[in-house]
Amino acid sequence: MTESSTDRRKRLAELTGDIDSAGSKNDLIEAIDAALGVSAPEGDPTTLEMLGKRYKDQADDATKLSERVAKVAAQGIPDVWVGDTSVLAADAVNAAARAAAEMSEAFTGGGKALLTFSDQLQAAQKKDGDGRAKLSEARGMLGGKDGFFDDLHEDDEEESLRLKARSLASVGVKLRHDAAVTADDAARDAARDLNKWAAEARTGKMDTDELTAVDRLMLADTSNIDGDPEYNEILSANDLERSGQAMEKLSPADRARMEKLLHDAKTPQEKAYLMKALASGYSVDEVETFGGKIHGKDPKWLQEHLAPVTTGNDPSQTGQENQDFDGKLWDQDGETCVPSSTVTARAIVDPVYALELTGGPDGTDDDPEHFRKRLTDEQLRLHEQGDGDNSGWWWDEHPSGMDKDGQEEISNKNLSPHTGDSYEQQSMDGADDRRNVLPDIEKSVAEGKPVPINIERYDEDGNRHGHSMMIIGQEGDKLQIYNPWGTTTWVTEDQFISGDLSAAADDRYSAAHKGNVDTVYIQQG
Amino acid sequence: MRTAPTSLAAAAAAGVLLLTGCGSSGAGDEYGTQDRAITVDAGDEFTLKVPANPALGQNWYLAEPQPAADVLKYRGKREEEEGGGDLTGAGDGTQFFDFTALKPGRATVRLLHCPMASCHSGTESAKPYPSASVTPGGPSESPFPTATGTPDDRPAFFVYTVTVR
Repeated sequence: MTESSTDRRKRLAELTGDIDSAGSKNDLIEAIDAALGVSAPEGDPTTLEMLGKRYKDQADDATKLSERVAKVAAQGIPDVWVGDTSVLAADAVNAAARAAAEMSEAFTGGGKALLTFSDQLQAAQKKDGDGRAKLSEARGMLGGKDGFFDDLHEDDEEESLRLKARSLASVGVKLRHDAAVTADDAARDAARDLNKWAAEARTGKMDTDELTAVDRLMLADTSNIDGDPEYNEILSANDLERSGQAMEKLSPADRARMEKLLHDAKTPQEKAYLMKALASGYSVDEVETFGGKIHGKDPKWLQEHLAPVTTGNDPSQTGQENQDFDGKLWDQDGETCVPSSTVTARAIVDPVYALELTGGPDGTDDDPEHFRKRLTDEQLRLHEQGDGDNSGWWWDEHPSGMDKDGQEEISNKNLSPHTGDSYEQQSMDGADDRRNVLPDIEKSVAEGKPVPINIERYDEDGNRHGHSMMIIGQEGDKLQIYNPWGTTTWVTEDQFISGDLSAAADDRYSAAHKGNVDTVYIQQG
Repeated sequence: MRTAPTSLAAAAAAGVLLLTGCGSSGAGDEYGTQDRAITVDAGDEFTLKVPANPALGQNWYLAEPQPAADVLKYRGKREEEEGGGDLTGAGDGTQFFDFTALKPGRATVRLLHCPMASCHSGTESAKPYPSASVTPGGPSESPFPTATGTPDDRPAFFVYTVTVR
């Protein structure tokens, strides 16, 4: 069976301890043999380097293209409409310039990720070879294993030889462990960066001939109006892919209706939200009804009603950012963190659902108190659906948490139909498990699929407290966490790996209280 | 009006007597969040008892300015928590602010209620809510208000007037 880079790292850390504590020749031989049995870091640095250089060449071409398109955009373009859905030509050229710049950035970033990986892998393989040589030398010094009676007594000369061999083996296994750590970290960093760049090559995700290249370009380029456009795109990579697939499957009559809806939309944001509704799995009839409710609304209205989360903080910023609808937080009412984070996650991926919560059945009830009531009702509906616990007396019965199976059930019932994946819980038994699952989380969120996580802590009396949150974004080595306390926070990968997500919750979930990420609900495509 | 956090609702329903100054802990009378005007005798020990459900990120802090030191002595804050076992999101808790009335007079105690981990100390009184929808350079949202009702999901000051006879 092939070992993962994380397994290799973990195994060599254990064997370092075994070698350092080996109290007999036979114990030392067994530990050295086991250390030699761990495979070397896999991968071909030369191939990675070639690939990285090729990406960089492509980046140069894309940069030139971006500069040429930007020049055209700067020259001023007459007000003509292009594409099946009537896009202003000037907007299309500007979007093309941005797409070419993004393409250049993606190739540059991808190339850099591969070259860095190549360098680190090469260094790790060299160090691993040095470590292996020292282990082999130590093993050679010891000869064969002692028989039962020989093993009972060790004279001074034998002890001196064992200690000398142990010292050499200790250096060797530590070199191998360092190499495994370097290779593991490098592989994860490369996977994270490549996944992110792949998700950001957005225009190509919408693989359909049913819309012109200009239409696809504009849809991929459209963001909500507040915050940095890069962190507030309306259509995620997954939305682009699913809406493209949906367009392909429509009957000619439905496709024509969909094109007309897009053609009649007043703003690029309105168009993008119509496509997001299609990506969420709704029929053209349902998209048409939804379209009737949002038609002609300005981008600010669309953002407020259809985007539960607006990211104002740059990933480099620490601190929690409130997420609200007209002053009412997107937060949990009572002990409902599991259903509440699921409700908000669905509203992030499903604009039809978001509007039902913010604007009511007809989309026009803007009263924030009514929004709060609808949000609470929906949180309670999911609490019942997941068979959540209740406590209190008959006159004051209220929700009191949910178990992990209930959480998996409501994730599958409420998120899967709109993202296309099913959810499966994975228990996190420490930092290695979290490090191992990170590339999968990052791939999911880069594509726009939220990942539910649970954190836990222990109070002074040893009582366990659990809380549910949702990973909803990724940028570089930062993860964006939605907490159903109504906030979003950027945290580092290292904070996630350590299990201390108190920055996204409160100090009671810090390492001092044994703060720990104990479960991740990862998608199974 | 939004439903009050559950711990508060439960406490209000099940523990009215405990919250209305009838005494319970042996260290003096306890007063809940609805008792904003309190009268005690000089020499009495008393406690402000507030709902602090950790599942809702609820925390309370003694805010500035602190009560007149010649009238009231602040003895410290205590916390009781209930865990949720294997369940995610369950739990309950209460925080207690202990005082001793020193001599006749009047003092104001300001407690900052921080639900949903919205603030982290008693000195954050002037901090506006961070929000993506606030235009940079534009008017910021209000600093924390003074509560007139029960604790809800926004930070607020709870101001108690304590008269010492």
